[in-house]
Amino acid sequence: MGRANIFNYSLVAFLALCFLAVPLVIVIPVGFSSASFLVYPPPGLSTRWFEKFLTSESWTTPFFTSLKIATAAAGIATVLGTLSALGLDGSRFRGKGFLILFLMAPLLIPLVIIGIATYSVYISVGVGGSLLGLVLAHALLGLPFTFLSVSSALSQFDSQLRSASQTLGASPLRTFLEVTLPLIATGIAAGSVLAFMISFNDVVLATFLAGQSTQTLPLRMVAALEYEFDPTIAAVSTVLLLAGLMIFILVGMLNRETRHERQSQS
Amino acid sequence: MRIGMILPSVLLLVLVIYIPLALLLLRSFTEGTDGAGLLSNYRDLLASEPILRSYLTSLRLAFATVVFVTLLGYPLAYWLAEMRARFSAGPMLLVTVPFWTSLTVSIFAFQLVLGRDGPINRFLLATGIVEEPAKLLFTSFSVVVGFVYIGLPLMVLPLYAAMRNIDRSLCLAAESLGATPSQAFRSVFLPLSLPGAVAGMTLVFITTVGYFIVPQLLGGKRENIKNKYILWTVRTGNDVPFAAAQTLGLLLVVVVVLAAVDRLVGLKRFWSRDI
Amino acid sequence: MKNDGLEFVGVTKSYGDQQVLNSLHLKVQRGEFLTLLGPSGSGKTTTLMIAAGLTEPSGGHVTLQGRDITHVPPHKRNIGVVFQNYALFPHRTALENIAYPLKVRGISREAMRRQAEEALGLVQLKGLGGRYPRELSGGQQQRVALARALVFEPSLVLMDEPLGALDKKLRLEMQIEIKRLHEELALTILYVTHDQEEALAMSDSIAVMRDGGIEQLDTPTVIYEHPKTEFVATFLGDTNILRGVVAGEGPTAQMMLGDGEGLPMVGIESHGLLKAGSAATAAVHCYKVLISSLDAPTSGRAIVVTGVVEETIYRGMWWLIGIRLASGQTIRGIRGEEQGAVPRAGERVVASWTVGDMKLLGMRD
Repeated sequence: MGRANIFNYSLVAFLALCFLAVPLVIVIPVGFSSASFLVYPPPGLSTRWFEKFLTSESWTTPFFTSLKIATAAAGIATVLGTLSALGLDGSRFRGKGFLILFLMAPLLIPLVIIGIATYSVYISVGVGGSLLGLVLAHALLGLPFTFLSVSSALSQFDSQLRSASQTLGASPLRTFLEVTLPLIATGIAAGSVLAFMISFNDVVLATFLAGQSTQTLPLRMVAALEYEFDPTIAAVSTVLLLAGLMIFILVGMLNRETRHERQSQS
Repeated sequence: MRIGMILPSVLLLVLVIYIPLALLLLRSFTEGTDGAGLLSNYRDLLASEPILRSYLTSLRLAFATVVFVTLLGYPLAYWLAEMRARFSAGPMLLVTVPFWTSLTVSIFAFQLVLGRDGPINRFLLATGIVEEPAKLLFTSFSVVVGFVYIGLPLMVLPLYAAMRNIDRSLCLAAESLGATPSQAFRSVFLPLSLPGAVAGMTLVFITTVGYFIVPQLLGGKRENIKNKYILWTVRTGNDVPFAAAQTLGLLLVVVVVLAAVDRLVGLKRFWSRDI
Repeated sequence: MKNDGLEFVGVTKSYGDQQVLNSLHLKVQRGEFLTLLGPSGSGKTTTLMIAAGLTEPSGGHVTLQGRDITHVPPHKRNIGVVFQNYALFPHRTALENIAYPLKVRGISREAMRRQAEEALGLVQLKGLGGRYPRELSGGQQQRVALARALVFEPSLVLMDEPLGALDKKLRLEMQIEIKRLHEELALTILYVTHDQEEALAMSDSIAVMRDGGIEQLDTPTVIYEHPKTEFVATFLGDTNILRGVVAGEGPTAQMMLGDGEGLPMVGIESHGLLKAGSAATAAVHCYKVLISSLDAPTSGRAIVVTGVVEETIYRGMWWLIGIRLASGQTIRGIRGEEQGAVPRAGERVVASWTVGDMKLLGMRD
């Protein structure tokens, strides 16, 4: 393989990885800091900031709000994404590429612009700052991911299995339930977990669309960044980081299991 | 039946995103500030020096970001692509960290690192490179650092996918014909990886131009980043149509740049991927 | 005669302006093993898919046991299908795969288990029911696919090149298996393959297909010994084709190959139809052509020609030798080991065969 002797690329790669690890390396220790202001490295270890996060209502309320919104948004995104992926599966028509682009739009259009546009319409309709409004916007943000995840699962799905099931006497609906669905289940799950995380972590759309009653956790954290200076925010960040890490590993395992299960030939 | 399955998604997208965007577009053209006439927003836009300057700044920063992301991301993607798939899972997880962490967490982390009492300044002071803590935050530098962080996965992931699809035997063939490893790399591998790199660069560019929170918390008043201006106008000035015009200006810039890149490279083929 | 088998009546299929099936008429009798044999693109798989209901014909209709099934969806046809890539459900065990059609038909758990186990035993996979497809070898997977297609006692079984992915030895074993099941269960089978040996070995009848139509429909022996067209003759492998012009009539009839070389036609099938001046094509199997040295006796074989050796191919049991005749046409014959040293390229040899082994394929004025 053409080894690039132009410069020592492994070194650069390593530096890049270090760079990517910065938040993990910085934030987590500070979360356990015993000091009451932000300093790195922390002088000692303590878990009191985690306690503060878990006991203070100004933190737990936004946390649950985010949880509610993310669950609802992920649910909607999953249903819509799965339906769309199934609808487009295997079909070939001239507008297909365009339709897919249409669905991918939330990824391409700068979030700021979507934020402003949706915000102004919501205001004029009278739902500015509502929970539902934010949920819908988040659902659409997650739709490209659920769609891609299920589409990918479907593309690995052997359509001959569907034919076989039908010749064996199963109606199209039965075939879907017994054969198609179980085999794309991991794709659906992976997509919905992704959509959940995207909604939970979103800060841009929330800035525009959230109202008094719908303060999400990221927004609470932005406020903390600007006005508070104790390590609570680091503790919260740590929780989010570790949770995100576990979820991502889970998704990775789900995807690998799918590939394994999919192998019907040894 | 098939169409019925896609309909709900399309409907919701149209209602929540496309129509609002269209309306915004319309309003930017028709509603001028304080009742001024058609296209007055755009006239004001073109006449406003600070706004135009901030457009340029955003473009400048976006390009800088793309350059650095490529310099860091290409070797990283290459390194990952050369590994056996099994071992790349760990580092790959690290690459996707910016994806699944909230922006606020990333910003917080860099604020700590680049702050006056942060490890970098401590190091600089201790080694005597500077005499008092350097102002690293709220500068172009910190903004680019933030954007590069967010942009790395957007570059590495498509590039990695593209690189893994390159047939290794082509490089071996080149070497067997007499090319040195670095020649083989430059003449075979590099060109083949280009579409993936361009995809990554485009994605990074679009995303960078589109974010504002990062500059708001890391950028300084002197930068007047485009988007920060928008936010201020929207939340405090309530001059949505003008904000819309600025937004549109931004969108237009993005479109123009993409069209230029498309001319050079042919972006459309990325969207013909069979999903 | 009551039609209690499968029948295609004027079935056509086209994709856009590409015609894949051209007014196909075919009858598969009940209990018959009929093979569709042909190259890719001949329409044989399409025919099978139409019978299965997985493809809709553009025209014509299909009946099964007298009932018109042209527009009946596949899940209502009660036809068993075995696919080339097995199409086993990866998330179900072998036994569950086999039990699937029974489950879908609402058969009780008890009976389902029993029948599935029986089917498993039928294909000699007893004890392997708990394995998943990925834990089974190719041959075993194929057996599971078979069992699954047979367990619900379908009125017709369709097989689409089921042995294509297996190695030669396994293929031969499975051919015997399938044949056995055909006889034991008195199945009606429509089989698709491009492998002529397979077709000859297993079928009651063979339909040789080409470009969307049937060239010849006959028993294996007739197809092999009496091909009607050049296509059928060459498709069934290792056949020589000779072209020439008929000269003379009656006892002096000859087929002139060119350059003065002629083959006597006396005693050939359809001798009476030979007309002087018409162009003719004749076929003779390579195995019926013996290659010998110039001075060796050619007793009993009336047709003798000489030629120059161009290629020699070792086939284990014999050598296949290709020679060029005076007229420029080439034929291949065999030479047994017992006949001494194998002739080398450039050598002059004799090729001989009997008139009876030669078939007249067609004549044009």
